[in-house]
Amino acid sequence: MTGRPASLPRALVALPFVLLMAVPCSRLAAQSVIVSGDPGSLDIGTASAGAPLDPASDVTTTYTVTTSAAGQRIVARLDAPMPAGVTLSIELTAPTGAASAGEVTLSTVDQTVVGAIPSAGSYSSLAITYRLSAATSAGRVLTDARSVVFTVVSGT
Amino acid sequence: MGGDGIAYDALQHFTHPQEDKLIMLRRIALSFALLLGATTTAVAQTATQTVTFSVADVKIVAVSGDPASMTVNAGGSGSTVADSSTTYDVTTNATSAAPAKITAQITTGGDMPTGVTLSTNLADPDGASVGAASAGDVVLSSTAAQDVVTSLSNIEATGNTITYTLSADATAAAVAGATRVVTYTIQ
Repeated sequence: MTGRPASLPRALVALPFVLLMAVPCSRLAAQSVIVSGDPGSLDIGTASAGAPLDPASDVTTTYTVTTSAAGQRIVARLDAPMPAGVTLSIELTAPTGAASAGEVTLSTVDQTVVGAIPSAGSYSSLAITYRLSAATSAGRVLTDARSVVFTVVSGT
Repeated sequence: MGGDGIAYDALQHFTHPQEDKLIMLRRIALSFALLLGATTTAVAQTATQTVTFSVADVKIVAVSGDPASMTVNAGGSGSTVADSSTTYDVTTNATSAAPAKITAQITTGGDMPTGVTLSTNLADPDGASVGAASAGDVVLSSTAAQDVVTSLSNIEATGNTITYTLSADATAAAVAGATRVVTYTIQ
C-alpha cells in the first residue's frame, strides 16, 4: 500500500460521481415538461356539402409538468409554418389552480398554452388536444409533419 | 484482480509523492468537469411532439330534396312546365389547376318517353363570371352523365337553385305517374 493516495482525496474523486447521480434528477425535477408520446395522424377528408371541411382532432396524448416556483407557465410553438390554409391548434388542460389558454393556433412563435401555475409541484397526465383545420383554398395536402415544442418558462 | 494490483503497485513505485497529488488533483478536476457537463445537458425544460397531418381531396354535393310532380299535355307541341323548388349544396377543395365538375344522369327509370324531355339547370354556385360555370339547360339522358357545372374550385356554396323543365312535343303519348331518378355526381 505504500505510495497509494490518501483516502480523503479518493473521496473527493468519488464525490462528483455521487453528485452526477443525484443532481441531474433534482435539476430535472425543478422545472420540466414531459409528453406521453406523439399524437395520431390528423387527416382531413370529409365535409358536409356547402360547409367547410371537417376538422380532425386528437386527444390521445398527455403531459406532465414539474415546476420549481410559483408563476411558471407553458408555452408552445411549431418548428416550421403550416401550409397555407391549414391551421394546427392545441389546447392543454391546466394543472389545478392554473388557467388553460384554451384553443391556441400554433405558429413558429412561442405562445402561452397554460398560464401561471400557482405553486411549485408536479402535475401529471394532463390532456393535450390537437385540432387540424383546413380551408378549401388549402387544396390537397400530402402527408407532412411538424414538431410542437413545449417549454416551461418563468415570468409573464 | 491480482494482475491489476501488481501493475498499480509497480506504477506507484515509479511515481514521486508530489506527482501523486498532482494526478489526484487532475482526477478531481476532471470529475467535476464531467459533472458540470452532465448536469447542463440533463436539464430538460422543453418537450417535443411530432404531429403528422394531411388533407385529402374533398368533393361533396347534396340536394335539398325532390321537386314537385310536373305535368305536361301529351301531343301538344311546345307544352312545357318547370320546377325551381329544390337546391343543391357543394363543397370542394379542388384547385383551379385541377377543378371539379358536377354531372347529371337519369339512373333509374330508363330513357324518357318518346317526345318527352327532362332538362336540368344548376345555378352557378359562385355567381361570378369567373370560376365555376353552369352549363345551363341540359337534356338528361339515361345513357351518359352530362356536365351541368364545371370549373369548381375552392368553394363552399349552399342554396343553389336547381331548375327542372319537362317538355312534350307533338309525338308524345300520354304517360301516367312516371318517375325518373336523377343522380348528380361531383368528380
